[in-house]
Amino acid sequence: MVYLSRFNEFCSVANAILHDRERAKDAVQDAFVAALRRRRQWRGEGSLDAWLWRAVLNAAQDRRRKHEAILVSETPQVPSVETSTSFDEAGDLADALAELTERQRLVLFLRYYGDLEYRQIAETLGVRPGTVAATIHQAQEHLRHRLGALVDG
Amino acid sequence: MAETRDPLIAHALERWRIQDEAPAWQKVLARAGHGARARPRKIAAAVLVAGAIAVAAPAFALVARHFLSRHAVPGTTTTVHVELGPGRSAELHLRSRGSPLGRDASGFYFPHTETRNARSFRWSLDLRGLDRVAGAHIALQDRVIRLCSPCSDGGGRFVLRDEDALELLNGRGTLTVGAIRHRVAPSAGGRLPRSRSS
Repeated sequence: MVYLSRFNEFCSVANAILHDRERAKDAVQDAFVAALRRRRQWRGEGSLDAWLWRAVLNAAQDRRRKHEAILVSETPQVPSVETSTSFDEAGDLADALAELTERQRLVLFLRYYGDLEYRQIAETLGVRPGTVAATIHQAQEHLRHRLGALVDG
Repeated sequence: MAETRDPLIAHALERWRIQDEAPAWQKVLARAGHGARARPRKIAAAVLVAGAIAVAAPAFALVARHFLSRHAVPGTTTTVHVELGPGRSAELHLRSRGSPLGRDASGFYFPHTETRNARSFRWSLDLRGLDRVAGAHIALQDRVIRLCSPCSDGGGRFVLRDEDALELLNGRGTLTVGAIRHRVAPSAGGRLPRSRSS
């Protein structure tokens, strides 16, 4: 069963979108609840996997939008000098990912966490495999450059 | 169309990978309103299987971790002591876990390079006799790894490609703390305790 066998891959992609493990698990659960309720809407035109991956992406993006709407009203936290002395690799990686387009991020996450082939990613996102190849190439180039800059200083 | 993965990116993205979560299918079924309606036997069986997995997975993980914690993992450590003046010094600890190392006449080498070309290092800096220095960095032949600026006691992590990691491990790096430079000694390769905090 897809939910049981690929649960951690679904959670990893949701976690990469949300940066919060608990919310990622909740998003995956939301996705499968929605998928079960709407299972008759799936007409077998595409693969079941792609339909489920789409449900997970939508659920994670919904949760992120709701969370961002809450954060807008909060005062941003300015890090102190002491906390900034550590090399913030996670923050830099998040910054580098934030510079990508939404599609580039999703393609990257589906490829690296979901272990999907270009054909499967294309089906999930409703684009052509060639578009996936070009998108992932651009995203990887950008990240290579940024990750290289991290160690170059 | 070559569907390759960049090892450096794969390594960096590992931080958000989730590997040990137990799925809760029975909760999904309950929320979706799939209680005791159609095919009750199949659903009950699915709930039982999911429940068994949910119960057994953490227990299995505990047993596995207990077993694995008895064994060390390959890794390297390096400590660099820098005198900064009377009664003032800095000590940098470098540590890299999970990378088997070989050693020949020319120094360390990575025997398994087919799957990875990036090594993660953790560092920590301890200052003695002073609270803060202007900055600290490690210079390799073609790279500079900025650790902190300004620096107090603390630590972090950086990732190096194999060739740069070997340069550092083989004692060809220079640590600068404040205005004082010091060669980074060759690493002590070996096996490190398996610890979540390392």
